[in-house]
Amino acid sequence: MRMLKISLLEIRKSKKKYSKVSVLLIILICLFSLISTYYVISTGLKSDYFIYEISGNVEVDDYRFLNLQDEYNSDLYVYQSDNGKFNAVLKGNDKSFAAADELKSIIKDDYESQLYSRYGLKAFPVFVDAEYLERSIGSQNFRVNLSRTQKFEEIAGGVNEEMKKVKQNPTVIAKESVEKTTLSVPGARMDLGYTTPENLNPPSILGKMILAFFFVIPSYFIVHVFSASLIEDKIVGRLDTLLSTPLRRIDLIFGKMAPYMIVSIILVVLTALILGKSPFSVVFILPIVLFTISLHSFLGLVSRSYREMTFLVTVSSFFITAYLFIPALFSGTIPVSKISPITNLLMFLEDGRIIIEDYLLSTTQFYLIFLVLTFLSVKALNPEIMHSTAGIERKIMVILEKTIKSLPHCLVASISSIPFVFIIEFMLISVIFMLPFTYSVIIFILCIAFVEELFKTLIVYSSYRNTGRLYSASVVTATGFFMGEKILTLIEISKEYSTLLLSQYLLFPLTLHITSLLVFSVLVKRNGYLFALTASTVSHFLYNYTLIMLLM
Amino acid sequence: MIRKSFVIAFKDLRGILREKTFVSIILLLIFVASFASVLTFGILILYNPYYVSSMLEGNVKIAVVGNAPVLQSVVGGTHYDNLENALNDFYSGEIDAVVWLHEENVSGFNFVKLFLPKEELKAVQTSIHLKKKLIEYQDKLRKMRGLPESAELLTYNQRFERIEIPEGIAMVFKFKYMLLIPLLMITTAVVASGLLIDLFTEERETGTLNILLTVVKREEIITGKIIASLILPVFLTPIWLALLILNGVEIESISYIVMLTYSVSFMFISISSFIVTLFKDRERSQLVFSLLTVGLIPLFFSHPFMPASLVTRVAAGSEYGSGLIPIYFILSIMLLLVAVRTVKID
Repeated sequence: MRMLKISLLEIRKSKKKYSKVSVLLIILICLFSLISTYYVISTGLKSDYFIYEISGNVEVDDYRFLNLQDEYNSDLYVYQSDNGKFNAVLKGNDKSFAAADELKSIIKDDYESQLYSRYGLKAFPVFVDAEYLERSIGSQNFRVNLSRTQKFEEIAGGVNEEMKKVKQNPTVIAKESVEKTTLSVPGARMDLGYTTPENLNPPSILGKMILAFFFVIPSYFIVHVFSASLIEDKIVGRLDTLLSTPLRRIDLIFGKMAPYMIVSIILVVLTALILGKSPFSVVFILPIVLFTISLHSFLGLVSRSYREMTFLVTVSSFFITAYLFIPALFSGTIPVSKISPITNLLMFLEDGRIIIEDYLLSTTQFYLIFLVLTFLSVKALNPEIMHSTAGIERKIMVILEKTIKSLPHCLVASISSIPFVFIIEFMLISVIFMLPFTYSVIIFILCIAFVEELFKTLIVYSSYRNTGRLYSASVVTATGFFMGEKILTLIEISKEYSTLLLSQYLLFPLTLHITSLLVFSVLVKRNGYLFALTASTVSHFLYNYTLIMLLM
Repeated sequence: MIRKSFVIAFKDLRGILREKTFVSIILLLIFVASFASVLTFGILILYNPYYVSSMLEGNVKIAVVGNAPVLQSVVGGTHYDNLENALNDFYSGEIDAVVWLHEENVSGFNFVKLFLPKEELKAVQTSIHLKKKLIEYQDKLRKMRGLPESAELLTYNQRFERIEIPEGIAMVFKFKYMLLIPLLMITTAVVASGLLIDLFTEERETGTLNILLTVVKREEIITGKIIASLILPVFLTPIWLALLILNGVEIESISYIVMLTYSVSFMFISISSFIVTLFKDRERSQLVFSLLTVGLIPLFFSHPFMPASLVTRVAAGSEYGSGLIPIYFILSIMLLLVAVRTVKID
């Protein structure tokens, strides 16, 4: 009830702020943004106009190529020899290689068009259609798939139907596919069914990725408005007034969040309806909205100024977007892509199915982080913390000190830190994975050691400040962290991808956690937090490095 | 006037340094630059999986079904008499793909049906392998029909030695120059403009503006805040350019890129100052600015002479249209001067 009052207060405040003129202007700007986005999607990017410079005795009639007289400054010097073959001398830089690659495609397309105009359909003897079938194969032995027979019958029935169609009118099918594939702009070709071998590509998810953006972006804006409203309330002192009332802090936080959550959900449902998609798409966006709203709430309460909040929100939004959309780029090719709810949304948009296991795998960490961050926001809703000029790291320490007051708290905090560690480590894998293998393993182990030690030592240090107990807090925290990691091992994906994710090196034994925290405990009293953290990170790193060296 | 404006600017910059917010933005840029590789790799799989064929190619086991001797000779693999057996072996994992052609027609059309695994690395591997084989099959049938051979481009280095061009290398080039560099240019401008909105609205909403106005003129405050937000792109642009160069991206015409990035930042800063004049408070100003940015970014790519297209070309070393960059620079400074004159912050 009290929460509802806060929500109504938030709505009244927004109503006052957003006059009819403001709303009209915002709608007009939204329309402008939609139109400009649609225009560019439909007409394509124009950034590669005349990007390549070419000289020689061959004129290339293509928007990407600028024909020059000066052969020294051009990317390619192209000439046609007496036998009709094309030759290109490259300048040697990346652009000249790209230009040669594009020119090869142009020559190939031109050849196909000429063949079609001279010989017609006779020049296209082969048409291909690919069908992607899901199968369940265990890592060691074949597992019987109960629906296999049914699947086979469906496929066989479909094939027979297609055969009839092909036999009835092969010329029409062939003509349509040749005209559409060789004489039009390259792009979404798989929609056609049969196509020439050159145009055989796996189904493109590019269109669906754009759809996913349409689902996520409106919620981003709403969450940004929420954080702006929250920090304004903090700066002008409205939160202090509300805190002086008998209102519970949890009601205050949820009351402020609720209208924005509801608007976000409504926007996602509306987007789905406008785009002709299932409104159930909202189940994939909901955890993202909850996660971002709790993150913004926490950042709004601990940041010292508008500036600081804008920077933190910008950086965190970028990281979240990367975490959500980068795995989705690999959707349909590698199972690890299922770590993102966006991948599962794309699959849902494709076949309308929600696979509970995949859904839980991709969203559980978001729900858990939402709970943890909301809890920490409630703790941060304290004038001493909100208006302090101390840095964010100091404020986080104060919040943890106010939270972790006993050994059971250490246990719960260390288990709760696992979703954060999981997301950060996953991001690190994505970045470090691309480095040469020799360096990537060392850098990766070092980063992992640092991230894990940072979370663990923060918990131990907070407990120590409250209770004065170091060693028992270390043992309990290490045990909690170990338990959390064990839960992670139950996730199927880390089993399947143990080699790729180096998960055998991520899932450290209990002794390691205890040892590294004891190193921290021994040093922290005399040498301070940073020195002790560095020492525990080094001990963690050395343990893992030795283990990997022995394994290799 | 200028001296006092710089005092205001340094006050704000000290705040930024004290809060270490600048560090978080540099971290973001480092992240973007180091993420360039994984982004490119991901987008390539999305857009053109055949580029990564060298990484993904491996042993694939193919089943060929139907009476198709020429196809069988090109594709190889195991011959199956019927589709049912082939699909059963496909489901049990004994083979990776099924190629089905009921009856080969050397002089007519051949409609080949492929069954590939879904959501497995094998899907990419098999389709890469089969695409090559089917193109070979098409060439073989064309030859049998007496059609002319495929046209070819022979490529040479400067010493006139034959070199091979990796298929799809243009994609990597375009993603770096057409997306990443314009994205860094626009991010710089957006961050600087967001900062300006915060600098203006914070003084008003915390009530410190009235205190400042007792000792400094309104125009001096405005100029000071704009100078503070201009300093951000001035420092950030060389940083991200250096990061790109360290990441192995070949950057040409650095002076043009810097000039164009500054122009775009000046334009965005001017726009944000107009927005803050109109909406006054931070919440609405940031919202409107963000929405407008979403609309402006696509437009930046919509014409060969728009800023994103120009920065792509000058970064890649193409001079076409680069004469417009000084004009953009002059226009953006003029816009900034108009903003200084017209902005109202109280």
